[in-house]
Amino acid sequence: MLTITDVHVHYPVGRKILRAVDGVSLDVAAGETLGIVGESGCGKSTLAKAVLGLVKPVQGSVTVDSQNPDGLSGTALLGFRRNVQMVFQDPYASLSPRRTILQSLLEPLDVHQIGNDRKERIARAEATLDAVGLDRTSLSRYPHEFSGGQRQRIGIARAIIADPKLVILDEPVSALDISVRAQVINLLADIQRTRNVGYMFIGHDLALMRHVTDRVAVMYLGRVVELGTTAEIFDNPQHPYTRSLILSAPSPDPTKRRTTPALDGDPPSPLDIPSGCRFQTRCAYRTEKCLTDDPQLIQLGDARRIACHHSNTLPAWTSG
Amino acid sequence: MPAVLEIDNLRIGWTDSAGEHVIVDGVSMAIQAGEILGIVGESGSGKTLSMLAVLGLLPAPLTVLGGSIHISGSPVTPATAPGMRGKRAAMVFQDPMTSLNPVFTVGAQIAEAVTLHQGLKGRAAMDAAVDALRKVQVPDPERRAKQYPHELSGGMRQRVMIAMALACKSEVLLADEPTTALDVTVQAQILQLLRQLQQETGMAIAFITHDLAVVAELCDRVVVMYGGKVFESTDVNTLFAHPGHPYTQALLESLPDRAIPGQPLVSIPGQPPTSGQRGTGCPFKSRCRVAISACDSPLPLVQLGTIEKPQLVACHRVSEVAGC
Repeated sequence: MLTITDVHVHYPVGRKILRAVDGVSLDVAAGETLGIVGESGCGKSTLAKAVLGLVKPVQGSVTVDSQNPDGLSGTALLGFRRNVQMVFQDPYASLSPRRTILQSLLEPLDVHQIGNDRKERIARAEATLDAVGLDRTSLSRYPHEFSGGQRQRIGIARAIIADPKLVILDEPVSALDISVRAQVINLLADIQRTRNVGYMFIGHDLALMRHVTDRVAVMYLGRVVELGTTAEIFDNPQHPYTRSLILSAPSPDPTKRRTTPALDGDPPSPLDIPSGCRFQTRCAYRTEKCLTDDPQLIQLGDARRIACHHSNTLPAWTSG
Repeated sequence: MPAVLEIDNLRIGWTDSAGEHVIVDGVSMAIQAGEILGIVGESGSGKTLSMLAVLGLLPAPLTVLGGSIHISGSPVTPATAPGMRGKRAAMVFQDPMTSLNPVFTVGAQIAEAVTLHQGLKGRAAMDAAVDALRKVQVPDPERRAKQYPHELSGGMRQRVMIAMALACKSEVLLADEPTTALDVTVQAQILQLLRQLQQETGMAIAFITHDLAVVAELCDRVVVMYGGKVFESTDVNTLFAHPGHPYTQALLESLPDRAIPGQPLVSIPGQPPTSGQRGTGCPFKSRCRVAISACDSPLPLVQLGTIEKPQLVACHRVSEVAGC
């Protein structure tokens, strides 16, 4: 349904070029959740912007159901945009404080000319509120009257009201109180089941990603370094970076404490991408070849892709 | 030997013509030297306000309505707090960018604190600043000391904040979600650093967080707060193996780590209450699966566990849920 092919997004910074996304190919099927993980600066948010058509790739393409937004304009471009919606991290910043919930929910319907008249649109807003578990009386209220969890439900309602094929979820529960996160995660799963919508789920909570995703793409400095089914990625990670990420995540079990950090330092700046393998400056398995040769993403199994010169000679994976 | 930080029946709120409005309601906790205490709670639970009270930094109109705070036996009052802040208790906040001044080098900012609290001046203060940066494992500390906050990564900035507390030789470090804004890889580095510094200096640390996994990774003992009250306090192993309060139990069950693959997460209904919505009795009762009418009356404090490993639980239904 969503196909991202060799997308490059570059930003000029002074005289330098920031290669935020540097050759990424991914796809998301209807009803599937693809997780995107990686440290800040790895390009996951820029990739989301490229999928939404908010930044234009310098190279490569994004298509939804074989439709490419390049060259589209006017109503045709609007039609494309209707298919891809987004739920933002911060439900306090993503709703206009001056609009009632009804006004916020009607806007996508007005923009996309969905429903014959206002009455039909209001009925659709009410049905969508039901779907996200909020009371219909909420329509006449303002965002400040709701808690964080309720606001995120409104953000989800606004994203799904125009029946998109793909919803980008950018850390949709990280800003919520811990006791309401599970509700919102379960709601997202329900919506996906009933509407067969595809999710691109950007997150850093690996335990949560393991629970909610079908496949996971691990990104580092603008590239996908490992891609596979969720079980493959978490049960048998094959890229040294994926292993470090998993080992860095704290475990809610005080008897299984990590003694040393899995990874030193910060990721290099995307303005100064290292030569050869981009992970070589922090990699424990680095050899001469990694300093000069840029590893390509090669197919390992059905759904498995990996970009590492040494993936087949790494020691067996143990999570302890 | 008295606890490094001792908070006893602390009540925080404001007073107007209608009377007292209590936000933090009877919080007690103690941290011994060489101990890391985790304070777990959601927004509005009162965890940050309790720590701000320790520093005498409550935002107006909030004041301490009752109870007491002692640092190594000395009482913290509005009169004594300014003299103790920085010197005896230091705080590290979630976002180091807003705690650091963007127009001074980080070395100058640490040196300023050293001058204020240790009396060192000029070159000696700057040497102490560089030394503190070295202790928090900032590579090339002489060069880093001359840099401005924007030139450092988030993890480095947080190390600078910790260096400031170290340089002032504070007895207790109050760390308010210091790793929430960081990547997991950098979070692991900072947790490791805190543990190591704590072992070297014997500093007591109060670590405020909403992340139970971080608590399991770092802390020796844990206080669980909700709606301005302490619900449970015990050692970290007991908390994760035998949580005593229905709220703690529900939080642990809702973690994705404990979910059955393919099944929905175990969720807690409703929302945390705001300070105006709490009513009488237990603030969790409307969301609690074992609540009864007795939960409208003031919370009892039930002691479980052993004398060496006590587990204090504030719940009417503790006999129903303990041992789960």
